[in-house]
Amino acid sequence: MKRILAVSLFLALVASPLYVASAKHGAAGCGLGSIVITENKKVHQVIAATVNGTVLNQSFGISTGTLGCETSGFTQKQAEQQIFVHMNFQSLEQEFAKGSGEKMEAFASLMGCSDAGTFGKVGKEKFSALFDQNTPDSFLEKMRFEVANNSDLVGSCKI
Amino acid sequence: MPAKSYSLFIIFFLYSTFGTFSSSYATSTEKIIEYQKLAETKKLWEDRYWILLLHYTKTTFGNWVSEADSSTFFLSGEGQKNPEEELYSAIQAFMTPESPPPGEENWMHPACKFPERKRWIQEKLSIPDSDFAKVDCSRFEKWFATLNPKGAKIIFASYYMNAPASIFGHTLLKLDSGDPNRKEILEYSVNYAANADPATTNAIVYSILGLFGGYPGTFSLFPYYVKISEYNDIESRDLWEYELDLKEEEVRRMTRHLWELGAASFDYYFLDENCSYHLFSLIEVARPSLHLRDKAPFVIPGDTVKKYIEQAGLVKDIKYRPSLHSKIIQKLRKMNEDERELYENVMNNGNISLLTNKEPDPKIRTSFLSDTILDSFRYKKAEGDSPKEWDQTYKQLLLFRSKLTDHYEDSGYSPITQSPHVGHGSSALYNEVGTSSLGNFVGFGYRAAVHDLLNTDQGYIPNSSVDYFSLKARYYQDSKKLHLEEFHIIRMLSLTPYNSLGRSISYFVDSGADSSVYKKKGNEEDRKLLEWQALLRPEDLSYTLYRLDDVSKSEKYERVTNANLETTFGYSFQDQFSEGPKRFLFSAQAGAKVRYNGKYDTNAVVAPQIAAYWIANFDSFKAVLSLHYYTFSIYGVPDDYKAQLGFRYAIHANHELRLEAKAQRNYNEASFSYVYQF
Repeated sequence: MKRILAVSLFLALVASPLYVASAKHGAAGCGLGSIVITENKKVHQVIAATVNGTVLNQSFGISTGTLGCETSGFTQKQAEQQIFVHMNFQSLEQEFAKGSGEKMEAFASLMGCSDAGTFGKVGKEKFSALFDQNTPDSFLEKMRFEVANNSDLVGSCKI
Repeated sequence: MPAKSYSLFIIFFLYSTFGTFSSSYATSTEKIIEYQKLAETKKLWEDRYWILLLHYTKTTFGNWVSEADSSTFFLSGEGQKNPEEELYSAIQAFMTPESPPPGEENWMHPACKFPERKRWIQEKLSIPDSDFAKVDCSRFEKWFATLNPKGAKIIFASYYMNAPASIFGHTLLKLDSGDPNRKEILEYSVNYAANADPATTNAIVYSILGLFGGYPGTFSLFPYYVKISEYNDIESRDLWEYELDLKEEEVRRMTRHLWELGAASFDYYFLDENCSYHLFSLIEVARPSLHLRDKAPFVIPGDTVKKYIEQAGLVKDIKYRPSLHSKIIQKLRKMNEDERELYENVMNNGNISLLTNKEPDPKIRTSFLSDTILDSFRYKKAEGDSPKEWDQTYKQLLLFRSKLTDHYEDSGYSPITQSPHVGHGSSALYNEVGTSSLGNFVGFGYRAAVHDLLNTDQGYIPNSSVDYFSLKARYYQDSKKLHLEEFHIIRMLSLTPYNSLGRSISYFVDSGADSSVYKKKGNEEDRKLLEWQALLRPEDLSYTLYRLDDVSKSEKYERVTNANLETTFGYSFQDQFSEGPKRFLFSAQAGAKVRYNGKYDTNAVVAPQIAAYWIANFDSFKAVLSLHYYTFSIYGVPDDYKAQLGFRYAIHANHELRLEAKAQRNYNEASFSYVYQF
């Protein structure tokens, strides 16, 4: 079963648009290596699937590790948040239930929130609403809404 | 007009016609030659830094050859074997303007592809910026600005017995930006790995191909959280972080060189040119005064960590990042009786109502228990060991947890594994003397890597062993022959305790050679012949009797080396959750064994076998009892067995004394050995 899963993930990966040159830097991203994902590990496939399904026209050069080397710009931030949430969804879910944790703090900083304590408090309070659909994308969307509109967070978060 | 002056005239004519257009070209060509000459007089290619940047090593014949195996890493066609030519080509390439070939949007000018080579050549030859080709390296500059490296850490991912690629552990490099607003796990890590497809790779194939450079290895870069998720959460491996005391400029040099390595691939050799070896190269570029690679023929990740520690002042801090499994064990060891009992009951059948509907009890820390159970659910899911309906239970418990407000002290745990740098050396020399039913013997042995069952466990996975390329040979006094006692291409033993947290399978795999004892065939026939001779030729009786005596005196048994392939699977048991050191472990397993020796049992025989292990561990003392029984009698040849009892005393992690006894069919032995590890 595991093997079938790995193979199908691998095929999904090969078929992913990561191998299609983007207008920006092409499959090589802008950095190390020329092949995007060379290690074929499950985690990397998670990223591939994430990017494949959700980030519009973003080529995430894994080999560059730095998201197409763009460091500023709205879409860039969003892509970074998205990949982070997909990669760490289970951990985030657990840390939000708890109200603290290392991954939650990193997520807070990716969301532009300087006060991780308040971020965690709000996350814990709104836990059931944030995670009710049980998908990384819906959670991220709701969290973005909170960051933009929650009176406790607006002060300490810069979008 | 003679030919020579004719051609000169042509050149003069061409020059006067086009000279005005190509003067800039001519000057740059002149400049290139000038700088190449300067490099030649300075013997710049002999500089250690150039050698490091191109990854040259000296062959046994004293020639240079680069470890990089891709032509894209060189600017000269002979670059792989010729540091001097490569340097001249580099000077030329960096000073020659070039535009991208059509349709090659990933094309980069050599000066952008090799920024560190360029920087160094510029510094060494004092070349003004204006003499270089005008190039736009924004891609590299953006990348570099994103990383913004200021510091570096070596990360060690501990041994993972469930994947062939991971039995030696793994090292990666982390680049730290020093940006206070960038969280640790959002920084980037550099990974060097062999490109084997794990879906189709089994341990044996991987080991053999990995030994002979059958895989290409490349560098890649990931956000650190990707690696944490991979090692800590999915594979449940502890991470150790060693912060290096490198100056910012050193780290920046190394990072620029890392960009250059993007164009390179190296053949991956398991035991020497592996992840740890190439990190050595990177650190040497950062600080060329370090000579990390001039050591043993083998580079084992755990050993390299020691090497970093040994360099005075290189490692300034060590941090432990426990895996999901270790976190659970840490919490379990801090539980009181009531809490542990409740935990066990919940984990037995996933009935969380025992916790969620419980009346408040001062002896039970609800949040603490919830977190431990949540971790355990996640761990079991990652192991593929959780029933479908537990997913729902997990969600309910999360919701319950989000409503709890009690706090507990979530710190002050002690590490579950020990840092690899406190472990014994991975290579070993065995020296033994012994006595047996076939006479006295002296023996010696060698292990390339990494850890055997009688070794001290500090810095390794407890109750496990991985022998990679090890052998033992003996000289028996009676037979006057050198005998290959055992040989392991690879031997792995993993005894992971079975408990409420995970029904881990323990296993044993061995491939190579072992020894067994057989009744000599020749003896019977010789005796019969001589008896007939005594009857038929009485005149030679005294000689015949003398021969008969000789035959009966000569040994009836001989020790034979067999080709061997075997595996067993089973369960191990240990009181893992209690505080304090874990002293005892018992394991029961069953599997099969293939034996071939060409002399006896002439066909390869595949037979079922059963095995048991018992281990008692008292730090510097350890006792191991192992029993194997092979049911060869299904082929009409006698069963065989191997019972071994060993006692070990460690004078020091690298110096051990051992007393061992072994019993096999037709054979017993006792031996004393001294084991030196390095």
